[in-house]
Amino acid sequence: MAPAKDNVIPIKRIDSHPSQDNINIRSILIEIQAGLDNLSESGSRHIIDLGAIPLAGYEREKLFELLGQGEVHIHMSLLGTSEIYETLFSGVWVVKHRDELEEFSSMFIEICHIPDIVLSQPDDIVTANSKLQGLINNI
Amino acid sequence: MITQETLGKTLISHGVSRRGFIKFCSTLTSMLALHPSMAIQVAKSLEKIQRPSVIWLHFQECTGCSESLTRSHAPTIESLIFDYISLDYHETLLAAAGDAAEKALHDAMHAHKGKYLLVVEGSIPLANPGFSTVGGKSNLDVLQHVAKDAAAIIAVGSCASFGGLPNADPNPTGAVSVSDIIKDKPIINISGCPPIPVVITGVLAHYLTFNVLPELDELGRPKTFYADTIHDRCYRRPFYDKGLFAESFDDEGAKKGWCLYRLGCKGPTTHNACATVKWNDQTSWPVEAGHGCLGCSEPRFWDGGGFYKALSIPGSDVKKMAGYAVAAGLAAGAVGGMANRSKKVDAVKKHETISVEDWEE
Repeated sequence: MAPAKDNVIPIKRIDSHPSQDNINIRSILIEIQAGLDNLSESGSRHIIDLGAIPLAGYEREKLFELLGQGEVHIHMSLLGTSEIYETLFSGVWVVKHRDELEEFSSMFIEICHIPDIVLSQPDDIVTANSKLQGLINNI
Repeated sequence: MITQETLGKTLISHGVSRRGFIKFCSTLTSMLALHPSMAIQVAKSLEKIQRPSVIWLHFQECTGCSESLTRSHAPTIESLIFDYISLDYHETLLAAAGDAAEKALHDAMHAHKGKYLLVVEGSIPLANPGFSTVGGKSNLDVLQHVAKDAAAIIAVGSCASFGGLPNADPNPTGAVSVSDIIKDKPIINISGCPPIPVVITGVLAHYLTFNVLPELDELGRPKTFYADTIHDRCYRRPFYDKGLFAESFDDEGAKKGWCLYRLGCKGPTTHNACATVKWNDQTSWPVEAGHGCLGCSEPRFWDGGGFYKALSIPGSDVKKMAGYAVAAGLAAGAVGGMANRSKKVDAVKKHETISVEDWEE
């Protein structure tokens, strides 16, 4: 048998997983719908921690595929990167945090007007004001 | 030398913005299985905490637990946590050796008397103290000496928690767990062979965040990570409920990702967080990779009857059972799991293996 190219162990991927009737995905979609009901009726936000839900990798991919990507896409660079986008369903946001090695550290679906982490933080605003004063003084 | 700086100030001095800190806390909250909305409260709490001193001892073990932790993807939440504890003594990671190492241990114990966390990796041999020594001192002597002034003890891995592999029949070294020896300190067991790194750091993070140890189950394990069975949280569970099982590792059922119960999966009797936390950057875990759970976070899992022996064979009425269970708001797996656990305990007592044929009788 010929040695693997560049000493890399070949990986045979099997992509065909059965649907399981999409039971797990369907459950999450129903929870999202309930969250949207609350958001539109009372303005209350809801967050689903995907790291706490037993989904297989292919199920998670299917969920993101079904939700799609909407009009707003935000990229943040802090302690790694974060990708935040509104899905095709207004009020339903996907928040993916990656560490400095671009590996996922946490993933959420947030049902809200805009995820909290996007908003400028009061402490950072105070610091920014101080920095800006320094800039004004020195210009 | 221990800094009295709070975590909040330390992060700011490292150039981490408030938004970055909230990101850190969002991940931490997820790790602790808290509701995501608690991230802000966690942030407020963490800002005020000071670095606790940690002393890490090795006894009869393979160092796989430390390997699990240090080889986790870094720099990540795990490394951040370790940046903000003071790991004053760890025999594998310590740069110092000999007298200097002993001095580091002595200094940490003296400076933080009654306040330091003691982490223990490995079981303790009682048959002969000479079976495992560090610097000429028996594991038993070292444990009793260092535990005396600890605030709490964290037993990392199945060896420290339950005796592990050294404790397996016939247990030639007389290996016992930490809790078999120390009776007057709070002990938290983080079992697993090895434990999931996020679970180890999660417990430390919980202590950092709330300054108390987490709620424990009847085996001293944190409920945050060990309350559910693998079976309860398994993504293959719908196949179990439908009565769809792989009968061999290469049959059509296995290729279709069906339940591995009949191939010896110990998921129904095993409490751990692999199904949700997963391994290697949340890439996968044993069942997702096509192999049944070995039950490595349960006491005496080595003597549990064989990794490829089915604990039981679900009856042909499994669909009906699942239907009843759903209707009653119960989990069929939990019912089966309890029955299996009873059988397993009996087998352990008698040191007998359990075969498929035994169950079909």
